Amino acid sequence: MTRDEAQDRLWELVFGDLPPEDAQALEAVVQQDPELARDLEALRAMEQASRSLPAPPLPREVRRRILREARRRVRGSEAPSFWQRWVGWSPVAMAAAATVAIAVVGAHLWQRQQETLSIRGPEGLPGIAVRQAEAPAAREEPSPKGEAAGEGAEVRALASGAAVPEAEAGQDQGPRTLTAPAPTIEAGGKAGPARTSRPVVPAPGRKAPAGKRPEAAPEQAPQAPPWDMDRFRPVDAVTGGGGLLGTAAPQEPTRGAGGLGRGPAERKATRAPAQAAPAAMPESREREAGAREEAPRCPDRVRTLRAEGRRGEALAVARVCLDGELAGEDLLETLDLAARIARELGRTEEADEYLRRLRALPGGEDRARRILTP
Amino acid sequence: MIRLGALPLLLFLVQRFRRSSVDLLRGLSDEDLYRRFAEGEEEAFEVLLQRHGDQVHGYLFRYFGDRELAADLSQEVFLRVVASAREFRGESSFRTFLFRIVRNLCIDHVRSRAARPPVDSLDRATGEDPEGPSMGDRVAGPGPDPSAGTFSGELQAALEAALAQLSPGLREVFLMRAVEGLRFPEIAAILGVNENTVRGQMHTAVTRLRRQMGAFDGEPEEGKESGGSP
Repeated sequence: MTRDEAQDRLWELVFGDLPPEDAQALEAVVQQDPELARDLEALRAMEQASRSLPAPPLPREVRRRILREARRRVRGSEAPSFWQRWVGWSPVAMAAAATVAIAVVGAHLWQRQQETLSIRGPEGLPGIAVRQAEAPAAREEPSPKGEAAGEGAEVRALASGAAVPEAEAGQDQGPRTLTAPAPTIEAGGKAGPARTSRPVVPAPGRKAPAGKRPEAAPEQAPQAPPWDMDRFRPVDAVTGGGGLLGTAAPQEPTRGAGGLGRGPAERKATRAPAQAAPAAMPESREREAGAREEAPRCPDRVRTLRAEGRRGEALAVARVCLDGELAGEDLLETLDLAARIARELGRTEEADEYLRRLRALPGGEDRARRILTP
Repeated sequence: MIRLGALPLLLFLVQRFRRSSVDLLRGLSDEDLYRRFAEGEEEAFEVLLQRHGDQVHGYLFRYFGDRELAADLSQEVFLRVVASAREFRGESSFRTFLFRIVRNLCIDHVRSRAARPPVDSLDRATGEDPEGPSMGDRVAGPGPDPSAGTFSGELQAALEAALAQLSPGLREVFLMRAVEGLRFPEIAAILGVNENTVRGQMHTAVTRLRRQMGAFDGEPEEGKESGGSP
């Protein structure tokens, strides 16, 4: 190795880019040449200086912006709002929010419990005893006859003030079936005058399971579900002040009374619960269905937002709708709108995805073509 | 009350779980992390940013000598990384992929500045403000403790100034190899050139830097040569 060659390769030695044998040969040459040794030292100093060149770290604000953008891309939605970011990242805030939520739910439950107690009254405890004594037997020996008559209705019948001696309850329909002298509960949550001074409330923790909902015969024209929360109405109901235990025609057959004064028609209904089911649609469900019908259609909402210039929100709504169970014309229209808005917002990948989905639908090809035609 | 008291504990455990999932991600390679991010795991990108954020920013700062510009370009780099997540095929390493983006941005920016050199001398002000701190001021600012010896500080300042005199092509090769520690095959892949070409550029860059900086005795070699040394 000549001196010039050695000098040309010094930097490789310094930066560790020489094979070991070449490095040894070069170092041997350098040891015999003081000028080369000085050059080598100078290069080493430069290499060290280059490694320790000052550089500020990436500013936190920039880092935060980058992460926010990354999150937005991953979630495919707009940047989270301030409170979402705050709650999402602060354990203290999350704890606070969750505590408030639990407190609200707890207060609500407590209030309902208080109302229940107020229905029960000072003499309510024996009633609970009857229910609790009865409950295990009912679970152990489910009666085919009493199956259709749900526990909720039973509870209502008991709450109406029927005297329910255990011995009597077991006489004709097994342990679950209770009998009483014509206790009546009207479908609207009103009870007849047949009341005793011992109102009975449901045993805590018991509710009518889905498969055991009380069914009613169609001719009974029920309007309120047996699991209606009205049964927790306050004390005046017990004393005939209205509400659940208010008024009812004594002769009217008991709706879902679970064996309390059931007539032949009702017994038939209990044997065929599936046939009676449609008539027993709960009010709350009817309300929900009505609300659903009244709610604006997805495409309309998207169109409105777009017309208002809120295209980001419109696209977000469209995304939510498309994640749901849209079908038919609604699906076509929503996809059409989403593709247009995504294109307007410059989100070509997303727009392409909508177009692809649109094309896959019958009648979607024309729409897609119209979108792509300027 | 007991339930309410248990809630913060539960949240603490959730946070710990999240942190431990990030810790688990730290054991993965860059490529695996980037793939996971492409599949929707945003914590994976967080780990990537922790690994490479400072490096990219440092490279851009040394390349342009401008803190704000380096921050802006760093953000742009990582936004491009985010946007390109689904295009990454793993044919090259993530670092190569990353520095290719960095380099393209540098070229774009240099072109947009009409090939104006970023720093002319140690005394030239950097950044937008013409009266602002010079390169020498900036280097001396966050540099090593002066009490520890001024030689290394002077050396760094001289190197910064000499780097600023290099052409962008030589500067990027030197920075990638000497400062960022990339290997020649990697640099060749980033630049899209032959490895021998990169070695040649590095040799030229080192030679020119040495000439600019002198022999580290405070007297440039050119000065010595012009002074009539043999």
